[in-house]
Amino acid sequence: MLKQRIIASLIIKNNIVVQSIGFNRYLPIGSLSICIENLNRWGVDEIIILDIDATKQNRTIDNQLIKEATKVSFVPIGVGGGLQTVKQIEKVLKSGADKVIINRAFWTNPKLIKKASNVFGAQCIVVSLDHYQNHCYDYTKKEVLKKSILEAAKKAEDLGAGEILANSVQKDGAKQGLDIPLIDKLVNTLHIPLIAQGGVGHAKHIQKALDIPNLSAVGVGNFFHFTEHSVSVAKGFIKTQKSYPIRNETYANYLNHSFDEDGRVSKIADEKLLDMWFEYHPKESV
Amino acid sequence: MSGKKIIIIDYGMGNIQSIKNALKYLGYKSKLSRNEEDFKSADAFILPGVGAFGVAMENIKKYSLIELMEKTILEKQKPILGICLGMQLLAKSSSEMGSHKGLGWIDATIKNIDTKKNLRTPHVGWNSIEVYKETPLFKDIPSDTHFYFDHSFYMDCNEKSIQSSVTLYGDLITASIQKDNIFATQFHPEKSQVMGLRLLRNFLNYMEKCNA
Repeated sequence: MLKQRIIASLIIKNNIVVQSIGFNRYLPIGSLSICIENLNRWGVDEIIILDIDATKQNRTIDNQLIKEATKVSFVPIGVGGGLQTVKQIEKVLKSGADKVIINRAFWTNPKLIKKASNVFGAQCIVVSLDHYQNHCYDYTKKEVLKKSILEAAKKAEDLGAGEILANSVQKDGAKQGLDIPLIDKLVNTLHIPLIAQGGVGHAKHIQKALDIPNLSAVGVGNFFHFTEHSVSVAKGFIKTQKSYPIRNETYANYLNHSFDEDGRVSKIADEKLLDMWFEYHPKESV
Repeated sequence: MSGKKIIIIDYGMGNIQSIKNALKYLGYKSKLSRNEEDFKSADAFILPGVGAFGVAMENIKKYSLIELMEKTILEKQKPILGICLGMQLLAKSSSEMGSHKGLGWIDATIKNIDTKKNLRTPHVGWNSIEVYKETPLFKDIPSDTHFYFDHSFYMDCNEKSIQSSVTLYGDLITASIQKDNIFATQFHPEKSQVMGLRLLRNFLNYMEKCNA
């Protein structure tokens, strides 16, 4: 059975990873390679890397950065940032990316989607749409557009996009949960997989989104930073409720733990800890 | 680093970097090549693939790779692992954007995933497999293990005995095949974390045995 994916979304500014709040405030995190190495170990399903300055500065995301980062990743990586031509897409793919994410060029040069989808295959092309409630949002000008996101997403699908990444500007960094009603509508409009993003501040927010049947993936940004084992803990929490179709294959998992209100792992009872003292854990090998 | 020579077949397409990274992690050097000398001295091959079937076959013909591959892989029986489109290219024909002829080493055809069952294509994400055949590839990899899939077309095998594992997406579709020294997976082992690396390790171990 196909599982719903939990994707980590890494925002790049000045070649370092940052947290984004409402598309206008940023907090530094650090090196991309280190973030990716950790996310891999913690069992993330996929990683998205977005350079949010590239388009504004009229350049593409640094290919060297991608090369270094993909060296330590054994999960699929999607890359976006200033991609406007087939040639630029090819370069990013050759640097080790598995998919490309196209945001601005969908508006300025929609033919690119069709062309790229023919050359590299639809599975390789993700169209990213920023939205404020039902409306599309232009992040370069910071304004809400008239165009409905449902229409824009349908158009992207018709042009040959393989997946849609919907990013809520309103919910971004607010830690209040995703825009569930809109995601529900969007899923039912599309025939291609949807990745919904923006607003996760607690593992229960991911759960709520996964309750939408046919939602392919949830994108998580800020929530996965600053805590150890963030991905596997979140997956463990999600699994406590009912049997969600998610992948849980890390060696260290939190499937048999309890959690407090904030979604943090509770301390294991003393007797259990004493027993564990004598358990033998062989080193994981491939 | 092992001294064995692994050739990633270069037909100008595919995600080479991630395969190279995975092999390097496992302690093997690999080389992207379409050079005759390299083919003759190779211990194993990987046929990568991301992209469209028709364009891929055109490129393979353009670089006159068919004869080279048949000489080394079919006659000399060197192990080969096809990945994703690299598996589909082994089939007789494909209906992806028109009708195209494949390499024809495997008695199968490539078809569109049936979307009538309200399925989304591409089939993208982590899906569990069911292992049909205990091939060297699936040592220590039980059924229900997850691998990363990303494709819109699937392989319909006429010869069911070559299916080594399947996955459920609407119907049971071919996840991997094996016929003698020819191994191939629809999923991406280089992108499937620990279990994917384990599968690649199994392939490399098989190569070591063959070339011992």
